[in-house]
Amino acid sequence: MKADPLEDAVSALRERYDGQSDAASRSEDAIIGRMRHKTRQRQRARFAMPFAALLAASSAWAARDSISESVRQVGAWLRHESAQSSGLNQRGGQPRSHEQPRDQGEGAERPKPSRPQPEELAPHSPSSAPEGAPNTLPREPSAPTAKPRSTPSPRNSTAPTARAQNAPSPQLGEHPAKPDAMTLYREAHRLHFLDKNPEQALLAWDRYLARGQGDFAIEARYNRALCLWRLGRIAEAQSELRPFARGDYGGYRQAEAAALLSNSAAPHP
Amino acid sequence: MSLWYKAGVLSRPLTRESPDGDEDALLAELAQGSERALRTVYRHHHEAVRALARRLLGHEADAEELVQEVFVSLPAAMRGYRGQSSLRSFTLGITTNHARHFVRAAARRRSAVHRFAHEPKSELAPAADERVVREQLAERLMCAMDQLSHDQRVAFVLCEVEERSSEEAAAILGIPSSTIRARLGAARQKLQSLLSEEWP
Repeated sequence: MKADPLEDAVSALRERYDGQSDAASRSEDAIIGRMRHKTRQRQRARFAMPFAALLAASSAWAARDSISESVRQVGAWLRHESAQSSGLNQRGGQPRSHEQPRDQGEGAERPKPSRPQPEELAPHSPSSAPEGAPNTLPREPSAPTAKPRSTPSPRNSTAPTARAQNAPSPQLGEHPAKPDAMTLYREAHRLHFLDKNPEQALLAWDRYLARGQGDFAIEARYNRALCLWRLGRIAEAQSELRPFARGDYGGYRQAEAAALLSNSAAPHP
Repeated sequence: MSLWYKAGVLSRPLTRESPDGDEDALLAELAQGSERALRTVYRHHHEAVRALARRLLGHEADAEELVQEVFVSLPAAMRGYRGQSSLRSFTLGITTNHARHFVRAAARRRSAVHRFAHEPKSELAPAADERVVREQLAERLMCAMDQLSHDQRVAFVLCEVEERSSEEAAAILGIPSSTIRARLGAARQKLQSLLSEEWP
């Protein structure tokens, strides 16, 4: 053994392991095979990735609409509850049971505190209005609520945008006015859709809109336009309907407004 | 002068292997994943890569696996190659990087084998066959090298076992040669200590 065991061991290691190999050509083929496999995988991923991205994006888009609608509903419910509470406090903190007669007096059609949805609360379209309504509307195939689910509704992504532009900022000071606005809306809704009294409904919608830009200002404007139409005030109705037909409020009632305007040239009783 | 000559990669012109004589084109082809380019580069460099892999790992099968991994990853790695070192140095650098987890596996395997082997030191008796003795020496050095850090191990193999200068090793690893020398000194000191314990 040499004097320096490390030198000796290094020499032995160098001799034992060199670069010669009988398997060199097999390794070359294996390398090429593995590279081909990697290339195929990359190509597959290149095609799969856009599809995956598209799927993810569409899922996210659908989820966004659903979530934003849920948040909007919960927010409206909470605002309504908060407004009711503050209203009670302003009246001296009367217990909630004292509030019941007022709610019941509005009718049993409000079993839950959530705000009414125009589509849900509008089972009767203007086209199915009784004899009191002008006969121009029944001729409209696309009456506003004839297709409550298929037509663009305020739940669509576009309508909330318009509402957001018109809606008042959520300041605490506005909360006491909210119950009144909701009451006005319910009253107008009842007159319009249940009593089918366009004259009274028009006044009620005006009262609601006079309170400021409420949560359902867009719906109220559209319903007001229908009342004007039924009352034969076609020019005013056209003026009210044009923004809807132009899409100023997104897709909300756009098709119906456009259909009504296109028939406005027809003689009206 | 071609890149390959400037880089000192080849001992003979690559044009003999590459009929079109365009080395830069070959490197570009390699970066694009060309099989022909990869075969050419493999034939030029596989022995150096294999030797380093074996000396780092001390295990034939693992070393072969490492060689394949290095050349399979070479086209992708070539996209970051700017000619700052020779292709051989670049390839050997990739080998040292990829060797890290192979070294750990090989060291664990050796440790397990030695726990159960209980080889007596008397096996290094002069009467033993010289070839067997030298294999055992190499094996014991490899076991001692398992006590080094990966950086020290790489520096030791490149400079001591492969007899490269610290500048060459620095070019392969992309670090200053002074760092190589420091790592080499630490590795030698530790190995001498370990081997002297074994062979007082």
